[in-house]
Amino acid sequence: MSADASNLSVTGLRVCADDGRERRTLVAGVDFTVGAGESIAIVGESGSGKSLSARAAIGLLPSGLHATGSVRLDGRELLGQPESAWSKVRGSELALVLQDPFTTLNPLAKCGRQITDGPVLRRASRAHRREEAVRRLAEVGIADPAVADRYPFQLSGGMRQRVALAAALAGDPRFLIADEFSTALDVTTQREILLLLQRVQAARGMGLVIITHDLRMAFAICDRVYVLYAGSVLEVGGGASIEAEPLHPYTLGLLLSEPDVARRRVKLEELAGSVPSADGVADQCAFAARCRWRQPTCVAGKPPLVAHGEARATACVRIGEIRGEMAERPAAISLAAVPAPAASDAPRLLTVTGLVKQFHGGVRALAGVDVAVGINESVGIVGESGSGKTTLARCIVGLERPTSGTIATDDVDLSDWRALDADVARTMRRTIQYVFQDPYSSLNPTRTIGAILREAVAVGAGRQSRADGARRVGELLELVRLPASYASRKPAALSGGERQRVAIARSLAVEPQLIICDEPVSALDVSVQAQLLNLFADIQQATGVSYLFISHDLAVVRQVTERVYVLYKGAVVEQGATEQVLDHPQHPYTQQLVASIPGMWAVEDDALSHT
Amino acid sequence: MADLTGVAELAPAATAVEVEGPARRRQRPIFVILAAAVLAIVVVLAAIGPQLAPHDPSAQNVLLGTSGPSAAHPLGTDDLGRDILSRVFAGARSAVVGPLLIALGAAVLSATFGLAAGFRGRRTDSVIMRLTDVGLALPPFLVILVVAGIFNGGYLLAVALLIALFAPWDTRIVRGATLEQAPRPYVEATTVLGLSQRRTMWLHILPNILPLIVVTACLDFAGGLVALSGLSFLGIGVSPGAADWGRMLADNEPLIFSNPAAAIAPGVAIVLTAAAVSVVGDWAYERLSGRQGR
Repeated sequence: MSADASNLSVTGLRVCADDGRERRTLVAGVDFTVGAGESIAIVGESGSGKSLSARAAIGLLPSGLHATGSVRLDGRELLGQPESAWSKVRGSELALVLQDPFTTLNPLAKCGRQITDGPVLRRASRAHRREEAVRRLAEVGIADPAVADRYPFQLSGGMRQRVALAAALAGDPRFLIADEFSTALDVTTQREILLLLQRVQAARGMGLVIITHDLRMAFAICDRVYVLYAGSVLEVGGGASIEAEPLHPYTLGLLLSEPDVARRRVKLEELAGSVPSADGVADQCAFAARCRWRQPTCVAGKPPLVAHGEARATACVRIGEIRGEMAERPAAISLAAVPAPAASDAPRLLTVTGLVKQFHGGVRALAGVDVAVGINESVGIVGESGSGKTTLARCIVGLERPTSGTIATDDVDLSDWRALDADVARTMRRTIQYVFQDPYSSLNPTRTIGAILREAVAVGAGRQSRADGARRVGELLELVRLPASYASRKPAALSGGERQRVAIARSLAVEPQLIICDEPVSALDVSVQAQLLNLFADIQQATGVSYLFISHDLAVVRQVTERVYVLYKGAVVEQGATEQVLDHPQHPYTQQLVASIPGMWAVEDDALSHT
Repeated sequence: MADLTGVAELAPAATAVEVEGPARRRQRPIFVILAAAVLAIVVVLAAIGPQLAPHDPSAQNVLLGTSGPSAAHPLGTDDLGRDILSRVFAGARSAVVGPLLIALGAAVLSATFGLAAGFRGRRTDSVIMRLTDVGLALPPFLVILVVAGIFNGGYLLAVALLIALFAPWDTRIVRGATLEQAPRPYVEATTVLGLSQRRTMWLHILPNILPLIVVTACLDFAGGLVALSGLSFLGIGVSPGAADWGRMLADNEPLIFSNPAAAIAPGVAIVLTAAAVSVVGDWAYERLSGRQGR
């Protein structure tokens, strides 16, 4: 690579945490390069070191972390330079945009000021700054100049991300790093924002680095994709060619563990175990422990990234031998579409009729919703934030009180839990259970897993002997595939996926007939998500429980439900067999949702570019 | 502490910066050890102080009168010739028992009312909060002077009064912490399971706000110690002549030039004990919070 080419090049990047007592490696030698006008993606799960690599590249590591290696901008070394050198580069050469649209903007400053607060414009006249702010807003697709005078809280998440992008572009950087830039947004907004990012990048000839956990998104918009795992790059290549044929077992596993929006799979690929620490795999293949093709050669030394054909590289030493087997793997786990089980005409378990929820202040979260769930049926509720899907779930279990409408099981009206007779309420609690979205806060951090489950078991079975309780806890842990030894651990010692399993076990403890799952996998990594989605299916088979499965992710809904309701602004706009609704969406909103999924962009992008 | 709960479409954990932030500032271990040592000494003295004392704390030697430090009396004597060191030893008991009762009493009251107000809400909350408002509105010294005047003072009365005066403040703190916990999914999960409100409050919320209650209790202990000493100083607390640090401070204040140690030693004892409790309380808070993980 010639030194004078305009590029941002990171080589041998290592990031270590050093707290005085122990030294932990978080990024173990990462290389990536992005040229002007090029877009690359760095993809990985939690703990892969993708965010830290990006932050090291712009000199913004959290305190306590140190980077070594090399970060060169046009051949100029930046790493190890004093802060003053970095601050000359940031904004004007390198810029960073972050994930959370709710915290990246200063809540007390008007948007216009936040855009023009960079060093270039700080001393400009008020009128000039305003003009500049309006121009920048227009570049990110905000035509209304009044937005410059608004505060962030007056804007939607997507608008805030646009403003944040405008602020990052205000210094005309040549390279932009986007760290999970669209993750917190709804799918439809996500798509707009990514297309915008792509357009701006192309128009400016800017280098773009996208950090994401979403493989399909990376494939859809980036020239080159780096797959990170436990602090090392395992595979590099063009999006389309990786998607067509991954050359590392990890990438293959990730691809197969993602639910597919186009078809339901019999079972998702599960990567057993969890991501190791970078230090634990310092001198072996990072993925070896979870790889089905592991051989002694894999753990004999750390495999280097080796070029493999046109613009591809993989760190798998055995790729030559296993390439054929890997190519057969998708078929082996029956990737072929399985028709979803036909919607049953099973007797109704739960019927929601004309449900309205009006919050204080006039917000109408639900505007007359009808939903029904049958026995042993899995029903999906799809919608974006603000559609009322969570409010609906909370009304059903009595965490919110509906304004009007009825919620009924076969013989009990659940519209007002407070009004229920205590015995009836107890019975109903045992009938309907709830799994929360965030496994990090749904378990009491001060109690052990065993105590949490024993308590739930006691609710279900009434008084019973200590031995019976312990045995039942063991059964529950086994049902969610956790080792019995976890009973003595506290939630903090568990990963997000493990915690969600405990939460599922807790809801199963009372042997309910219906479990309401509120985005149970949206906070988890893809491979963990696959494990849980398979688990949900297995549990349904084993226990005959019904699910009301709430999600914004159509692929997840396809994988676990038979019937689906599409919720939009508090009303059901479409319903039917999941397959039917996703394959042939009738309502414009459903069509828009389906079109927003990264894998489905291509068609419509072409359409857009012709208009 | 990153609290992600409000976000509608939770981003994968992958997106958080993948390390914990820099370690929170911690108590230096040496201070904790020193503070614990001070407390240990005070507790031992409270238990068997009079036996350890070189002299009988109340034995008078009017002939000797006030004297400075000497071999027989390391801290000298007061105007009645009583040994200051022995009186400091003996005074530890009232310096521990009273504040301990105050801290425990206020903690129990505030936990009971604060949890109920914060978790049950509605009318329970209104009633409890209006009561605390009344408590907070009363001028403390006036209350103490009036009540002590009616009931003729006394140590236990002073302790009871201080409990009543501290509890409203603590109740507000506990209520605030409970309000913060109540909407969390782990609490809602107990509702969905159908657990009783009492069980949810005492077995689920309480352990999570316990660090706060412990540190509040430690502050109450320190505050109670100083307040009791102050009341003794004003002559409302312990009976005249009793070996009590606050009382000694008051009685020996005129001796500041003839035997400075007579007034300074009990003062130092009060300050050291109060400070030690605060340091240990902070340490306990950190330990208890750390126990919960994130």
